[in-house]
Amino acid sequence: MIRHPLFRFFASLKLAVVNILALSAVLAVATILESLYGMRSVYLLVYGTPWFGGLLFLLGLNVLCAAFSRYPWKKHQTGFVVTHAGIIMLLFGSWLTQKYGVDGNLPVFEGQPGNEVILSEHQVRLADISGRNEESFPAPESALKQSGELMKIALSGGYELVGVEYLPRLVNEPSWVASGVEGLGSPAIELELYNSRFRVHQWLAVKEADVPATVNFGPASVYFERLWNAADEKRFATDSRPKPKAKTTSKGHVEMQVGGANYRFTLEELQKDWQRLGKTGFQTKLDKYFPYAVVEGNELKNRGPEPLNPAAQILVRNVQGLTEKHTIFANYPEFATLHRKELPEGHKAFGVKLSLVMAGSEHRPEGTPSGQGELKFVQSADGKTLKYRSKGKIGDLKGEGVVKVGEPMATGWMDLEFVVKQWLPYGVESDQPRYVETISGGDSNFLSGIKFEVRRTKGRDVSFDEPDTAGMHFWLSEGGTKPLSIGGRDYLISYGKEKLLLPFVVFLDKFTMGTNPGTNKAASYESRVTVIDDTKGTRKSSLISMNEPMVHAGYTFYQASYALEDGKPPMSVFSVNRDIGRWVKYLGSLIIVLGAALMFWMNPHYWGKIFGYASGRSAKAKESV
Amino acid sequence: MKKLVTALLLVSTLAMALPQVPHETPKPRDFDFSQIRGIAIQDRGRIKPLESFAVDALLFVSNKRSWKGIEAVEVLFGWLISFDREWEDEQFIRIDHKGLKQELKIEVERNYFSPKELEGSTELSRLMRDAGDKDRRKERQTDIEKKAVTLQGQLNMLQAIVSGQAFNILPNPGGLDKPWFSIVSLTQGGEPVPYDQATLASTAEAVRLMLDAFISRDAAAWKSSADAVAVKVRQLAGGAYPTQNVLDREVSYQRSRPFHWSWIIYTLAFMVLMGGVIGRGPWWGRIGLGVLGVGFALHTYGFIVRCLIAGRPPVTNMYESVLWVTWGCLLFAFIIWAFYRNNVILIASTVFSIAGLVLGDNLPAVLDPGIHPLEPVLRSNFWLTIHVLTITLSYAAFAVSLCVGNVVLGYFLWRPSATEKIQNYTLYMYRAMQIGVVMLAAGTILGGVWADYSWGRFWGWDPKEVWALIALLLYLAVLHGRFSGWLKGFGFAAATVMSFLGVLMAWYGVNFVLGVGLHSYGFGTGGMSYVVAYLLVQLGFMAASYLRYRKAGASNAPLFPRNA
Repeated sequence: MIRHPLFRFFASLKLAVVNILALSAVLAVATILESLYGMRSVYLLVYGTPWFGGLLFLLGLNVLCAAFSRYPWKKHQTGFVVTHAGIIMLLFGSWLTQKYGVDGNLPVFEGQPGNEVILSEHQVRLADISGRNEESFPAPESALKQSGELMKIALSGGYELVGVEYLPRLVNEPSWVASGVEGLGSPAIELELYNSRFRVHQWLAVKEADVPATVNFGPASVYFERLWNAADEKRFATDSRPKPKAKTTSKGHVEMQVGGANYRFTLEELQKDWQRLGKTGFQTKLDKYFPYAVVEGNELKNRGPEPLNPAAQILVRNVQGLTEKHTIFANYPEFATLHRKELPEGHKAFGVKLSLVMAGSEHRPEGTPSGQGELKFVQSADGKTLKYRSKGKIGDLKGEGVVKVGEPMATGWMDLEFVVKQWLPYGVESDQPRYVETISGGDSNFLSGIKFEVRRTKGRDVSFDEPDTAGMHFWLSEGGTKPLSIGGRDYLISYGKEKLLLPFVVFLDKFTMGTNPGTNKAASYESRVTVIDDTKGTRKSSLISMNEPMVHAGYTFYQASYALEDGKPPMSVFSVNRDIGRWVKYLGSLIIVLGAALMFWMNPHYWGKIFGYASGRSAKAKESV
Repeated sequence: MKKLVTALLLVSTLAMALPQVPHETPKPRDFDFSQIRGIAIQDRGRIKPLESFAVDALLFVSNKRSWKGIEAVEVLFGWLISFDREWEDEQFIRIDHKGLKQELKIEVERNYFSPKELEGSTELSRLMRDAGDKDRRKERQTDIEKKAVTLQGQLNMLQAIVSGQAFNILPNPGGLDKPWFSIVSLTQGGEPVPYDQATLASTAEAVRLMLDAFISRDAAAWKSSADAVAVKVRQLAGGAYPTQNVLDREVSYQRSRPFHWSWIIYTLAFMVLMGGVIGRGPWWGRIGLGVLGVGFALHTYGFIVRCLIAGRPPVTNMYESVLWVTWGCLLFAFIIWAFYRNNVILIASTVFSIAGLVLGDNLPAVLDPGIHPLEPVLRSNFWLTIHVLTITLSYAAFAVSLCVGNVVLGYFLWRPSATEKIQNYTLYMYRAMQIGVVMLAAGTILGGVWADYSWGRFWGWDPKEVWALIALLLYLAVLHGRFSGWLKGFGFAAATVMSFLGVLMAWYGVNFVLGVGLHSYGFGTGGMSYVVAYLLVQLGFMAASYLRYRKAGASNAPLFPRNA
């Protein structure tokens, strides 16, 4: 057998070199694919494929044959034989893991039990509406976009559900498309609103006939309304006339915030008399105004009449008559306004925030309180024109006109501009997700999705008393569930990763995260869990932390990650794993390292000189290894 | 820029007109900064001396350790106290990406820009918006967008210093791991701080005097007030403050720059040792060895001090791995030298160490020399540390084989007839490679065992581990290629040198080119041009060597010397 040409081929060093280089090249390409498509995709494209398994098998066979080809082994070959045996063991152990191992994730919320381990294979599950009689079907999976007849699920009543499109990485973003029928559908606009440090981009659609669509963006409220008739049109037109306002002669005004409400007084008003801050019980008055404030001798003084550094000292008093004196600078809104030394001992500040805004200064530094502007869009009754009107934060008209789709237009406040990128007078919401072709930064937390279409199996007519559901289509993204009514029957369809039910329950008692001093960066995290095993009738409490897993009933639980979301208890994610190849791999590892060390140790080049080992062998023998 | 100092000075006795600020170019003050350098500050999860913070900040903003003879700490105070007077128009913000400069519509030829020039740049805002959008949509950012994000980071850092927000020098009496307070808390109406009123007031007064002294360039007042501030902040801590020894050790580490001097001494040693090769006198070699030994000792010392400061071995980022690998390279060179007593091994390896340390010294944007806390995954795990150190040490051994391999290629190019020399150097190269292979195999497997133990996956096809495997496979292919008789003489040396590209990819490429995977704690950007330049030079050298070798014809001499 040793002489057999096939054996000699598989034992040859040249095959080894070719094999090693081929593997290197494949792996190099795989890492590039991973950077483009993510971990799961590269598993589907390379690591999980039969041909890659074959490549590894060939390598193992090569190593095995090479080891046996030198049989009977000589003493100096010990290192060589041991190392190669270790490699075979490692490869065998990995095969065992891949073939028989379980590897998944178990997310558990704090104070809740969990036993559904999420595996990596995808499937579609179909149940009747009560959730009973669930059947599961393996779902197509791929690194790239797919279309065609990807999967088929036969339904009763002569229908079938066909997977017609597959996206491996998608983002669900609400979007609208034209309904295709004049007069049918909801008006929708795709709006982008931006200035130098702010940008929003989103769809606004009038879903309910008489209710304007509203979005609040912080600095602006945006409305989109559909006008139905001439009366509506007239209402809009008349509202547009700005209320006649006295021309402002004020030097400037003071904005105040207390108890969540905003107040605004001109300097002149404040100079005249005490002004009330609504029903808060506070009153306010201007003490001194400095157009050109300077500090001299620890005191604020005025240097001239030009408003070069406007400052104001404002008195605020409460119902008890206790008075705070605030100094505010128009140019330095970030300064603290309240100076403690002017207050009685133990005084608790009223918590009034003030800012001084000079007339004619549109400049509003970041972070200062401000009112909201208003941007309103209306679609005319005939659906032919889209108009807009923008108002400043005190309701003053800043601009109005007919919207030109795709052109930037100014709102007239805060340098805000807007573009109506698309306008659909009659639109319908689209469930078409956005395909993410390549990923960035290795974050492969994208969901996949399948588009299903309901089709009628051949040779069956639909009876008159049931609605024909053929042709209906919908997208289902990973983790999604959808009720379906097809051919008069109700189903619940869901798509996601295969799940494994553990024979016991892991209850998360407490999740703790430590942070680096003075930061929010996680320094460590750990989970206190209780394992409730009814099959054994036991309860066991353990701590799972980074690098410190827990083992129960053959499953090992590792602290993998966590999720903290507002309004939800903390979630801890465990990596769950059952690996029968583990010890084979460990042993293989140990043997490889041992063998490599032996090769070194028994290598006369190195230690021979020092220890006089194996000094009698010829150079030829050494080269032959 | 929002300024803190005006808020502090408003209540000061110093008479000054706020809107009128005379502009001047920054000039060094003749101040004693020794006291203030050692004041503790809490920055990005670590308590460090102000010196470290100042150096990190200046390196980040300006890519320099001092600015026109003004030391980092003084620059820091200049930004805080005298920003609109001295720094607003000073061109000190480093932008070197051409594309970004074009995009920002600023002079492409210039590398330094003033805060005034960059303030309120709508182009930068737009780039930041685009970058942010892409980040949210998990799309790939363009190089220009990434650089814009970095620039915004520089500006934010500057803003944090100018506004005083970054000056977290007021300790938390609750403990070193609790958040500290910034000097903004000293302004009236600032964030509440847990100190008694009297101490707080006297601290604020001391800080105010210090700021006054800085502006009026009063050295004596600066000295006395800085001393007072140092005492005050320690008082505020109520014991929760690092000892002065610890702080001083880090200050002296920052100021002595052991790795900077290491490469200078290595360069000197390289020249002296080269003199030994050319001049053939025995003393050149001996002196050269001595100088190299001094450099290595300094390198070792710096390394140990850095470990002591950080309280951990150097496994966090590229910079630290460069320090470690350049050190290991010389360590292995010394070990092989101990067997064969050939100085060329040292000379060749020194080149690698010098190159590494020079890059580490000059590319703070790529190789961040700041000492930062460990990522949780790397924390307090003995085996993990061993795994990383073993793998990176194998890179060091491969670096020796690369350097000596290039010597072999050099002989093929210039002295193809020197068979004995070629045989010797091939043997040294081979030895280094053997060390590397054993360490890389052991390190990779250790990594697998560790990953299995702590994450439950022995091998997850993570790019970093895949590339370590590829590097190992390449060297294994070279070894087996030699056994099979495919690689001889030139081919063996050339293949060994080429295999280092696998190491380069595993070490640098995965983090900086691919940028994916679980080992993301070491990720960064930049440095690509240097790697490409090296590649071109290496390939050119190899091609020249190959052409000469082809012309000279393959010799039938054995690969290694007879007596090996």
